[in-house]
Amino acid sequence: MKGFEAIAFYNGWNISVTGVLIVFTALCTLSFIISQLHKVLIIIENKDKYIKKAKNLFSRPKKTGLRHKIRASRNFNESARQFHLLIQSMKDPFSLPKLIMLAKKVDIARPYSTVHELLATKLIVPDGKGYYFWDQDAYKKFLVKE
Amino acid sequence: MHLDPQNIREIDLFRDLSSGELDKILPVVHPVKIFEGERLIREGDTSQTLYIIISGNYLVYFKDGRSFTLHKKGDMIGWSTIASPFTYHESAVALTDGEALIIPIEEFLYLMQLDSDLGNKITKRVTETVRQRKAFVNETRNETRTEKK
Repeated sequence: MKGFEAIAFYNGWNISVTGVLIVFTALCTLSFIISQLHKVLIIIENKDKYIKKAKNLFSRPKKTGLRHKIRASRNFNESARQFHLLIQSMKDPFSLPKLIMLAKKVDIARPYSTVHELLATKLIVPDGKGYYFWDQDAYKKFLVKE
Repeated sequence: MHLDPQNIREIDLFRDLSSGELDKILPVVHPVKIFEGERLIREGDTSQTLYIIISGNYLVYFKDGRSFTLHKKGDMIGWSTIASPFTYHESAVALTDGEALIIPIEEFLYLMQLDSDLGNKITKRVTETVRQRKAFVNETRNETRTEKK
């Protein structure tokens, strides 16, 4: 038995068609993956954004409204009070990095952003020479307002 | 942050550059997210990266306890990256979350060496920043010395 007869006898035609189909399918899949690769790259480049989105999907909705505002305000008041106590233990004018270090030592929550808020609300004021002082009058006004 | 020649031109350091020069700069500038409390540079370390502020608030401080804050878009942290002896003269930490552009020094210096005109324009801008900060540093140091006497 030779030639086409042998090919047909040993299922050669079926095998070759199957082979062609496998290769063709693989090439189609590969080309599809390559065509979509730019989307994956966008996700990798903006991974922070997508991680945040994913986290938001599974986390509890943020507390908004009056109750949250009151709580945030209380937190800031408490932080301001704690920082005021720390500053009283330092000489005037004081060093801001040293204040942050001290706040970290005594476990005050989020010392960096709190210092930023204290600067923004002008409770901590720069002396123009690289050091800072606590504005007692502004603090009193702040307490009265709250 | 999406980087293109138009929004990178808004940054003070690149304000004098032509469109062609901006195209050269673009590949070496990388946007990064900065998180509250993240230390960007440490005084005395070999300077390898220049930071340009896009958003957020940052505290720049010195070993003797002096400090100042930066928050303006285009403000530079780590200017000593392109000046001898290539060590940071200050430390910097993020007070809030923010965004910045980072420029790895090797690629940046190589680019400035290849194109002297571009190098001159960048150096001019950096010198301006150094002049402003040096004035602050020297003034404070002199006063500290006087007080000690």
